[in-house]
Parts: sequence; C-alpha cells; structure tokens
Amino acid sequence: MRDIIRVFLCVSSWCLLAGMPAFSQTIACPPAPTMFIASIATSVSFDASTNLYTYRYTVSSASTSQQEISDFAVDFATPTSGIASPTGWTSSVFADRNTVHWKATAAAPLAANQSDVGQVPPGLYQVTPGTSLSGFSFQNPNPPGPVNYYALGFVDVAAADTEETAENTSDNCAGTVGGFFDLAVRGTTQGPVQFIPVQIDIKPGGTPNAINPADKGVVPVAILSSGSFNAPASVDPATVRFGPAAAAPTDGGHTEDVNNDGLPDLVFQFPTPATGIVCGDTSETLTGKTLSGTSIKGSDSVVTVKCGK
Amino acid sequence: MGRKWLLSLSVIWVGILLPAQLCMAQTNPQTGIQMDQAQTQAALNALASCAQNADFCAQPSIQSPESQVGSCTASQQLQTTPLAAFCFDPFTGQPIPGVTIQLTVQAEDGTGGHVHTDPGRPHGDFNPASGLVSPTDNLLHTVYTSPDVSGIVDATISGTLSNGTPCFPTTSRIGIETQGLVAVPASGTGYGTTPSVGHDSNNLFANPSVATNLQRLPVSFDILAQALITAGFISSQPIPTVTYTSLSLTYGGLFDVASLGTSITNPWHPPHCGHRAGTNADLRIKDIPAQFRPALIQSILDSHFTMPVKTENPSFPGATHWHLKAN
Repeated sequence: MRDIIRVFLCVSSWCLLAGMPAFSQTIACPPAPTMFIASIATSVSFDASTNLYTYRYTVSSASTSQQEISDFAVDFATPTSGIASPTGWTSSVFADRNTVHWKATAAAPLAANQSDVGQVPPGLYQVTPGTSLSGFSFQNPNPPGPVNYYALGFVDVAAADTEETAENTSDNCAGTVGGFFDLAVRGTTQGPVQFIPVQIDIKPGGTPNAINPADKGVVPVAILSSGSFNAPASVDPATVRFGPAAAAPTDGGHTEDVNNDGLPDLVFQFPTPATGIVCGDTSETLTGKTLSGTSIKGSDSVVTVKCGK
Repeated sequence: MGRKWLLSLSVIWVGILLPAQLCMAQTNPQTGIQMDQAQTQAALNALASCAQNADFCAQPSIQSPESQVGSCTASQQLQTTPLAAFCFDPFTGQPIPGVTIQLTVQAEDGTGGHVHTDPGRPHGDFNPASGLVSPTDNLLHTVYTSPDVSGIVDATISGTLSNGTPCFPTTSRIGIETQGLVAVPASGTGYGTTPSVGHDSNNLFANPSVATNLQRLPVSFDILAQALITAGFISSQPIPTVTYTSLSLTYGGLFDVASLGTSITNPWHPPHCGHRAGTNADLRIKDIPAQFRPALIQSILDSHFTMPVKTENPSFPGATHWHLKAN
C-alpha cells in the first residue's frame, strides 16, 4: 500500500503572504522496507593463533514476512577484516563508521520487453519469507558482546515524474526514503565490543543506593554474573576500579550470590573517600578487565545523602 | 564654518548601518564613512566572513515572494537582516536629523554562479524602502529580506535633507550566500559530471562532507561492481561511470533549471528546490545498467545518502536520474 502525502503549495506572492494553498501536489511514498520479520543467529569462535574472533551470522525471515530481505548490517565500534558474503551478496563498510553492510546485489538484467525507467531489479539471492541464509562472517580481535544489527526489505526506488516531485518525495517520505539506519529494522545480536558490559550492584541488598560522599567507610559493589558471564572466574581483581576517581578495592574481592539468582557474584569494597563521589552524583561506574585482558564496564544508580549546605 | 561650506556644495554622505550586534560594512571605504570603533570591528568581521567580495552577507531566502515559487515544498524561510540607513555629516560623523532616505536594490548579473542574464533576477527588498529618519536616533530602521537567488545585490542609499539638499548616495554590496560549500572536482575516480546550462560548471558545489561522500560513492561502487563481475554475476565489461548532473551552485540558493533539463526555460524559478544548500545531488541513472543498480544502491547508502528517488521524464528520457539527498 502506498502512502499518499498531499502537499499544499502556493503559486503567487499573494498566496505566500496569505498562507493559502493555491494547488496541491500528490506525492506517492514507497512502501517502508520493513515489512518482514527477521531473526539473527550468531556463532563466535576464537583462534588463539591469530588472536581473532570469527563472527558468523545466519539471517532468517519469518514465513509471514511480506518482503524479501535485501540488506543486512552489523554495527560495532572497531575495524574488522576478513569479511565474507553469501553467494550473490556483496559486502562493504559504511563511510566513517565500522558497520559491515551486506546486500543482495546479484541481479538479473532487465527483460527484453522491459523499459528502463531507472528502476532497481531485485537481488537474486535475497532472503525470501520462510527461509534462512548463512555465509555472513568477519573477523575481529574484540570479544563478543551485544551490538546492533540492521536489515532492510527489498523495495524498488521511489518514482517521481518531475524533478520537483522527486525532491519533495525525498523531503516528505523520510519514513520510507530515508537513510539506511533510519529505515532499517534494528535488533540486537552478538558482535565485537571494546568492552564487555557487566551488571553491577552498588550496596547490594537494597535500594536506593544511598552514599554519603563524606563518609570514611567503604562502598560495597558486586559484579553480577549472568548466563554468559561468570564474574568470579572471569574478572581480574587487580584491575577493578570504581567511581570518578577510579578507586582501587581494599581487598581482592569475595564470592557471594548477592541477588539470589544461583550464580556466584564478585563483591569488592571501595574506600568512599577514594572513589571521588560527590554530592549530586546519580550514577557510578565500575571498570576492569577480564583475566584474558578484555575490558569490562558497568554502572548503577546512586543517591548522595547528607549533602546539605 | 566647515559644515556650512559642505552643505553649500550639497555634498552630504549617506550610509547604512547594521545594528551593533550584527556584522556589516558600512560602505565602500573610499567613501570615507566614519564609524565608531565597535562598528568598525563589526564591519571587519563581516568582511572577513563573506565568501563573496561584499560589504556584508546574508543567507538566501527560501520562497521569498518575488521568487514566485511554484512547487517547492521546502518550508518558507525568509532571511531578514535589520539595517539602519542614515545621512551623516562627515565632519561630525553624526547622522543628520530630518532626512528622507531612499533604498534601492539591484542584483548583479554573473554572480552567485549564475552565468545567464535573464531579466527579473530577484534582488530582495527593503521594508521600508524609504522614509524619514527616526527623530530619536536620526536613522531609518529597515529590514532587508534576501532573495532566493545567491549572488551580489547592490543596495544604493540616497537621501534628501529637510531643506531639499541631496545627500551623496552610496552603494553597499550585499553578498547573498550559503557559506561553506566546496567544489566537487568535475571528474574523479569512477565519476564524471555535466555542466549546467546557464551556470557553466558552477553546479558542482556541496557541503564538505557531502562533497567527500560524492567522491567516495563511485569508488565504493567500482569495488562492488568489480566483485559482481569477478563472481560471474555480470558479464565482463567496463564498469559504468557515475555521472552527477546537478549538485548546488557556488553559493547555494535557488538553482534554476528547466524541468526538461535542456535549457533554462524558467529562469529564477524552481524546480530544483532541493539543490539549494549543498546536500542534494542528481545522478544520471541511464548510464548505469540495471544489473549494476543494487550495488549502486549499496554504495549510496554506505555513503550516507538516503534511498534515491528516480525521476523519469518520458518526453526527455535522457534526463532520467536518481535524486540523492544527504542523510
């Protein structure tokens, strides 16, 4: 279904001054390239000889999808290498960002009886509804973490019969003629991250996490384990720091299941004066590294108390 | 004594001033107009910031009444500049009371990237364009509304004292311009361009990031197209050259071109509303065989342009192009 936008325009200076429409122009926006349901399966392997992770993706389209998937991209923060594509797809990287973009670019030529009006033929190897496509992969030195993926459904370019209609279509059909990241369906998958995001719990066992910046005691902070992250087994205690002043812990940490999820968490004590927490802070961050050297980072909310004038 | 002598010669200088917070060159320095230090500094700043050789500069409007816009849906953006005109005594430097000021404007042919000299070039307007100076400060407070068309507009200020003595008229050059546009080379790796009728090759300007991406796009396309040929999806053949037909003019503003793309049959008028600010480009698509177009789309998106819109004119299919807009 085509989205119709009616734009009122003026043809005389009187009209401009009076703000009255004198005639209208009909703009036909193309369908949004989002009429599909995608799911992404990721597998990650690590090669110790090259120190590189290989990320492999399989793109699946639900049988109820109304469009074939023509574009797939994974967005992350570090340069990558060794990009491989499925048959009939080509890969590229967006200008000024480390987003790997695959597109089903192998297409049939126009049929002999088909007029060339500047249209785009569909890719021969697009992901059709109810099917999956593997073969998207790349290598990266950074470990896996949550990253965004993007996908587009195939839609021919919008058509206009005049220059001004083309320009007005660009201006008025932002939802269907926009840029890649504005148009695409976005989701989360696994990809290279510069640090592993971890969950932390400041002053475990209660909320709010009230902190008196003038206190001379310690602030307990737990690094929580999850199904994919074992804090006690992964974190290098010597690297853990907390607060704006990056305070070092008073000890090497201890194991405790602070949130009763059955997983052992790692709890550190930080001297409050060394944390650099000041009145008005609303969030504090813990940083560190895993035993394999990958950075970790997590934040939790705080409420500063006894900050009267 | 000196003042009487001057008046007897009927030579009273006329100038035009911007308010102190705005930048402006009062008049051509040869006229000997005196300004206080703050105004002088403002004037110098204005001179330094104008891309054209002008006394002061202003952004082009969009859909000013005189452009008689027909179909551009861009939001109306009238660019206005408050000014104060006056007639002053060169010995005291003070505006003279009781003077009636007249302001006229004339656009200069051949400026702003427009080579064509069709009559009726928009020049903007003063409002009011004439009147008695204010009794409180002896200035005629007025507002200049920029035309849609970039280039140089000459503003001539004349005046008459209450006793009928004429003031010596002066002319200020107003530079109508969108600043910061840069020229995209007429050709480069994987691309070429076409000049615009009536604008020579002044149609190849864009803001810096767009200019960079317009040059990156064909390089990216070349790589993808070569990959498709190498993989056997497209028969071995030269990779088609990307041709840009219109970007923006040297100083932005209205880019008048006929809808057929053959000549300027409607000078000083849209269409081409989108080509005012260095962010849009037309790409001739008939040069790119259909099998290459998915790869071209990939390069367009990678280069941070929106999905293109095709314009096909059956009466002039050679003008078929994709309209690109920076994202």
